[in-house]
Amino acid sequence: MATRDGGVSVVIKLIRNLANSLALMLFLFLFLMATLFFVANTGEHLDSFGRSYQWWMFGIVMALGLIGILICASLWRLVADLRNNVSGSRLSLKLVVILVVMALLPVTLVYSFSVKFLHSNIDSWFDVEVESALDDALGLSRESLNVYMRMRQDTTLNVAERLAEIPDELAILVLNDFGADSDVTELTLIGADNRVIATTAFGDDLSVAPERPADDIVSRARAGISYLSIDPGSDGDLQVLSVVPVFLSDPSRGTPVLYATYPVPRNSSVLAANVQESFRNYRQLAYLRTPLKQSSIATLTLAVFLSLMMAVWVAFYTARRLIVPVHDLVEGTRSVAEGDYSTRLTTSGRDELGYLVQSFNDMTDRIEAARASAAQSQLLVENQRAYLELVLSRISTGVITLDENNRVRTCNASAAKILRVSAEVLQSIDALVTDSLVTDGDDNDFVRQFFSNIKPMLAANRSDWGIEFELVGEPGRHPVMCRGASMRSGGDEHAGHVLVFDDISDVVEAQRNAAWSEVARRLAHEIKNPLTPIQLSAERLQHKYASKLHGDDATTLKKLTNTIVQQVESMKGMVKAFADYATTPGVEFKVLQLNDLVTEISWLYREGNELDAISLQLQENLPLISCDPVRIRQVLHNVIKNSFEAMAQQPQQEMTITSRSGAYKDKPSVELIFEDKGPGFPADLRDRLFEPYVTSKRKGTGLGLAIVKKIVEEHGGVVRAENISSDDGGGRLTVLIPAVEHKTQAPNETTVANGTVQPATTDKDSYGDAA
Amino acid sequence: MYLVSSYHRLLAGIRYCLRVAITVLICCGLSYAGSMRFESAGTYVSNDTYYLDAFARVDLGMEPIQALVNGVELHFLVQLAVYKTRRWWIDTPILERRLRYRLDYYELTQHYRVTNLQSGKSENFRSVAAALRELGSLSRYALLPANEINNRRQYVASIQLELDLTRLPGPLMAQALRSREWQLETEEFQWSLN
Repeated sequence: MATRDGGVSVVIKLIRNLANSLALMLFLFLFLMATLFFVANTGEHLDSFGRSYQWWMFGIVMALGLIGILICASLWRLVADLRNNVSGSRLSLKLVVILVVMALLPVTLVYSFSVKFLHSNIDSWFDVEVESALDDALGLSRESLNVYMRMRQDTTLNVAERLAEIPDELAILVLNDFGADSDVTELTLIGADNRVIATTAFGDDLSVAPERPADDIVSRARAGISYLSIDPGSDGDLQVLSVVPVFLSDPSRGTPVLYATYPVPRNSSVLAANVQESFRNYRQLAYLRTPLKQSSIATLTLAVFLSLMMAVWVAFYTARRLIVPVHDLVEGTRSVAEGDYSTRLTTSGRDELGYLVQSFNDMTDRIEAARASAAQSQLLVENQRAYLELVLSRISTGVITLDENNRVRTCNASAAKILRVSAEVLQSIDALVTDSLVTDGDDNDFVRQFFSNIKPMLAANRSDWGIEFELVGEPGRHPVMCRGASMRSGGDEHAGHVLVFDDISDVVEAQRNAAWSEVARRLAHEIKNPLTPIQLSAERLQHKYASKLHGDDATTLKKLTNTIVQQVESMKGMVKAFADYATTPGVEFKVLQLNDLVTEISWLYREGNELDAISLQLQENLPLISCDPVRIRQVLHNVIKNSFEAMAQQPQQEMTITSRSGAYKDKPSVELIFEDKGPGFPADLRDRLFEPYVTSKRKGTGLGLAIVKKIVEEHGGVVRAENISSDDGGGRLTVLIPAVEHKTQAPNETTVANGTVQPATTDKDSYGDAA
Repeated sequence: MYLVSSYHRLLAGIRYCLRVAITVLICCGLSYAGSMRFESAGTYVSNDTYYLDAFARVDLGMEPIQALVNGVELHFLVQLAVYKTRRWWIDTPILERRLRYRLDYYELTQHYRVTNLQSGKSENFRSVAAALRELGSLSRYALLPANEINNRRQYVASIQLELDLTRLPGPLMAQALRSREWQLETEEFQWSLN
């Protein structure tokens, strides 16, 4: 099947190629012209031209058939093109139709007139007068020949009479004698037994054997019926043939027959032959009138048909040649319209179409160059924008641009992060109508506060301004430093604002911590110095005067000095605590299991009121953490102590320590949760719980949680405090410390590095993420 | 009774058939076509030569006679061949000969003239029938020397006569080649030479 299809396609391709071949067409055309010329010539001259006639006709039919097939192929292709809407096919059709019509009109006209003229022309050859004249001429010739013939007949009869008296032996003498003085060609006496008795020939050609008349003529003559005719000879000359019986005087010898031939005189013979030839030609022509007309018209029709076919083919050929550049142009234009600017057309010729094609190529060249440069500059701009975006997304400062209608145009990731809102939401905000955002929920609270604060600045439309304010929300208070500038477009028109802002919580807190540390250090230093002399003085006073005093005085002295010593001791402790807060000892990180530390510390509290008060819920296979065990122990001590102090007034003292693996900043971490049954954290202190000197207890430095927070942050973790429920109280403190990655199976207490591992600084912004 | 009626019906049928046949024959006669056929042909040896005698009945039919009378020359072609027969292979021709004759009408003397184009000799006849009889007969034509024939082998001679249409005038030939009435030729007549 495939090979058949292949064969068919090869044949179709061949036909198509042939249909486009100028050489083949030229050859066919010349062949047909020659054939037609030949056929027309021979038809006209009435000559026979042999068996080749049939082959010529066959050749003509084959050639016409081939041209027909090629034309059909072209037509088929055109129809297919029209159906498939191939560009240029309609123009092709128009051209073909126009050319064919142009050829058809004159050809039809010439053809119809030619047929008419042919008919009348051939008919005009035949004339009644000419015909009768020829008939008459022939009749006249025949008549004159008859006269001559009769004269010769008489001569022969004379000889026959003379022979009647003469015996056979002497017949030859009579014949010779007679032949000598007449123009007879041949004289033969045939005996009764059909034998030649005597014969004699005269004239030029003596070599020719004497001819005998046909037997039937001889026998008829013997019966008394003479024969007389004038016959055309083999050489074309006429001769009179006369056969007469010789009635012998002695009838017993039978009846011989005398046979004589006479030449017709040369002049008469030639003239008669001419008349005969003309008459013959005329008769033949008259007889062949119809076939002649038919063959002439057939030749003419063939010629016309040939010219028409050639015209059709030329129409197809020309149309195809003309359409090629047009088709190319249409296809090229289409592909350019579809965005393919690489289209180049092959230039065809030096005519206007060629110029058009050249112009098209120039145009696409320019368009492509322009497009390439535009694309390049766009790429450049894109790259710059991407670079700028990258820079903006990497910096921690929030950047927002507003358009001239104060709508947010762009914002970077940090802006969205600081304002706790997604970039998409942020980009849909109108800076001046942020009040409506309140209804959207707490998530947009920061945004609302932010834009409320900068609204007056935007309204003032100052070229450069700065403002500092706090965003208050669930995770706490966030001081924000915002700078703004109004932008001007090229025409010095207002083109919006650019806002640059920072969450400066860390800065503020660091400043506060630094201030506190300085205060604590100075206070400790200033207070610690006089304490020792005071204590020593009080002990010396007791020592020197206790023995000198008696009774109540001595007791009072002792009591007072003891009070002084005790208070100084307690003050020393307080000063030490301050000093501890202010100074950070060198930390030593080790990788260890937090559960072990928790268990170890909780054991220390298994006595007195605190017996069995601590319940542990420790997750097994807890990830390891890298920490300074001494400082973590302090954290545990501080928290547990803080809880028991809070629960001092409670009838039931219970505390739960839960450990589990959690996630902090998308990294694995260990979560330690302390829950007690105490009164919880007072609402008014919640914002400042971890600041130094903030305490709800009557006695206490307020440094416990501050130190906890400080240590936890040194380990890269975070600490949160909250109440379990608002009604029954109960405080919960959550500590998150990052785990050591990929080292969950590491042995306990492995030293990683001596105080060299520095945990990342705490990022306050991650509160939300961790909560 | 039944028999009588069926007999009449049979007669009526035969009569009807006859009438149809006659009608057909008359119709055919109007465009009466000629025919040619060899009645006899044979060879004999004389003076160490094979001689040929053949006679063909030639009937030209309406159209060619009409053309002849109107001055058109008719050419006839006699094709002679002698083959050596071979049992296992194609027969070899040992002789192939073409004889051409011309028949024309001489209006002046009202003769039909048969010309042997080989010898150039012509004979005149008063009637076309006589001319055709002469045309169809070949007597004592020397075919080939006897020594060319091997008596132990088989030889077959054949003769065919045809009207040569290619010698007709152009326009008439175009018509004649298409017309059945002009397609005149005998079947190939074959006989064994020895």
